[in-house]
Amino acid sequence: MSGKPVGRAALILIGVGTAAYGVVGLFTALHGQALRSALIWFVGGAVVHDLVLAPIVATVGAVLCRVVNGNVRPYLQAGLLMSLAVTLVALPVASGKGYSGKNPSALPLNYWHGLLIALAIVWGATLLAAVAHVSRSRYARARRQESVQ
Amino acid sequence: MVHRTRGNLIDWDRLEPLRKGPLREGAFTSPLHSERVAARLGLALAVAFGTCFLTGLVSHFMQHPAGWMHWPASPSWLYRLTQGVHVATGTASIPLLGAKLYAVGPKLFAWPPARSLLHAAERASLLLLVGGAVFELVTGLLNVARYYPWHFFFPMAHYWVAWITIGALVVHVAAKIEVIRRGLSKPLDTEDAKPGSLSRRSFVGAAVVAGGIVTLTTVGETLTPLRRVDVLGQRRGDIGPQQLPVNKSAVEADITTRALNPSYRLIVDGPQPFTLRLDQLRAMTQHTVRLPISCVEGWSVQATWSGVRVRDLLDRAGFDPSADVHVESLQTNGRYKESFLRTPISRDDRTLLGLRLNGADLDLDHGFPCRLIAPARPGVLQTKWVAKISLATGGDG
Repeated sequence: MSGKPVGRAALILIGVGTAAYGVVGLFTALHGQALRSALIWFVGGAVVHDLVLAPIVATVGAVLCRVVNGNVRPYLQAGLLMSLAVTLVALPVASGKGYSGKNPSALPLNYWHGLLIALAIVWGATLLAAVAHVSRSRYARARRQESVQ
Repeated sequence: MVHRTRGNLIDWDRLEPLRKGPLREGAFTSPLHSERVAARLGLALAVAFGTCFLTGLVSHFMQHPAGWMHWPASPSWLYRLTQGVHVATGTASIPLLGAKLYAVGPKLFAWPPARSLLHAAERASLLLLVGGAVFELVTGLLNVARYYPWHFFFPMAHYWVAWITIGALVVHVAAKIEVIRRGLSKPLDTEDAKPGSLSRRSFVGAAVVAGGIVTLTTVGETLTPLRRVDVLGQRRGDIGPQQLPVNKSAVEADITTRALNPSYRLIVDGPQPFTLRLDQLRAMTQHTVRLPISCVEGWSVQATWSGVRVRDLLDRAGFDPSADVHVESLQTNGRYKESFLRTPISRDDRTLLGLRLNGADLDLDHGFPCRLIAPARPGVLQTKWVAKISLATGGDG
C-alpha cells in the first residue's frame, strides 16, 4: 500500500519511542495517589468524551433533524456546536472554582458576563452567515428568472 | 490500512449477531463523518499540537535546564511569545479537537473491531492519542482557571503526557498517511450534498470560527491591543496592584510580617560576602528597564522596573562571572521560593534586583522590599521578596 514503507516504519518507530519515553517518565515522576489520579484523568477524558459528550451531541443533532425546518437547521447546528465549544472553554473560569479572595487580580472578571459576550459573537456570526446565504440565493434566483424572461 | 487476513485471531463472521446499535452497518449517515473533514481538521490539529509541544518544551527547559543549557537574554519577550502562543494554541485546539473527534466518531464502532494484530495495536494507540490530547487540553484549561480537581502536580503530569500524546500523534500520522492524502486531495463538499443539512465546509468553518472566538476573548491577557476584548482571560493586564496582575500575593505566600520587618537585610554570599539594608540598596546606582512579567499561565504585561543591577552585586561579592547564581526568597515554603540565574541572563544589563515598579516603590504583592526581574524568563523564576543571593552549588540549576 505505502509508497515509502521505510519512511513509514521510521516514523512509527520514532512515535512509539517518544510515547514510551512519556509513559516511562510519567510512571517514574508520579507515584501512588498522584499516578492513579493522572491515569483516571487520562482514561476518563476519552471515556467522558465518547460516552457522554458525543452521544449528547449526536442525540441533539438527530432531534434537530426531525423538528427543525431544513432552511434553518444548518445554521442552528453550526451555532449550537460553536456555543458548546465556547461554553466548555468558559466554564472553568466562570465556575469561580479557582478564585481566591487572597489574590484578587487572579480571575478578576465576571466570566458569566464574558460567556454571554462570546455567545453573542457566536450567534451574531451565525446570523450574518444566514443573511449572506439568503441574499446570495435570492440574487441567484433573480438572475435566473431574468435570464428565463 | 492493513489488508492481511493472516493474524486474524477471531472469526468475526460468527460474532455478526453481536453487531447491533452503533455497530450496525450504515448506523451513521451524516456526511460530516468523512475523511475529507477529518484530514483537514487533523492537519490543523497536528500543527497546533506540534506548536504546543515545542513551546511547552521551551517553558519546561527554561524552568529545568539541563547542565549545558544557557537560555538567551534577548529578545526580552521570548518567553512572553512562546508561552502566549502555547496557551492560545491549546485553547484554540479545543473546538478543533471536538470537531475532529465528531468527524471520526463512527470509527469507534468499526466492524470488525480488529482485522489483525497490527490493526488492533493501531486502534489501541488511539486511546493514547485521544486520552493524551483530551488530558492535555483539559488539564491546561483548568490550570489556567487555577482549578486543580486532581492529586498530581500539574506541570509534571502535563509535561510527561505531552510526550505520550506527541508520540501517539506521530504514529497516527504514519498509520493514516494515505487516508490523509486522499482526504486532502478531494474537495470538502460533493455536488450531491443534501440540502437542509450542515455542509462539511460549514462544519469545518464552524470549528475554525469557534477556535477564533475563544482565542479572541482570551488572548488579550497577553496581546495588549486586544485587552479590551479579553472577557474570558484569566487576567486583565491592567488589573492588580500598580496596574499589574500578581501570580502569588503576599497573603498567599504568608510573607507580610517578614517582608515588612524593618531589620530586613539582603545577604549576598560570595567570596566577599556582605549584607545590605533597604536604604543601602536604594543608595546604589539605580537602573531603569522595560521588561515583561510573563506567566506560565499565559498572561503577560510589560512594565517599567528600577533597581540595582544583579551583576553589580555579584562583582562586589567577587563571584566568578560564569558562575550560576542562586536567588532565595523570604518565603519558607512553596515551589517558587528560589530560582537560579545563568549566563548570559545573570550578566545582562537588564537583570535587576527591582525596587520600584511603574514609578513607585514595589507593592508588597510584587515582592517588596526587592524582587528579581530579568529578561526572557518565566514569571515564576522572577523571585519575589528576595532574601539572599549566593553561588549555586549543583542542584536543579
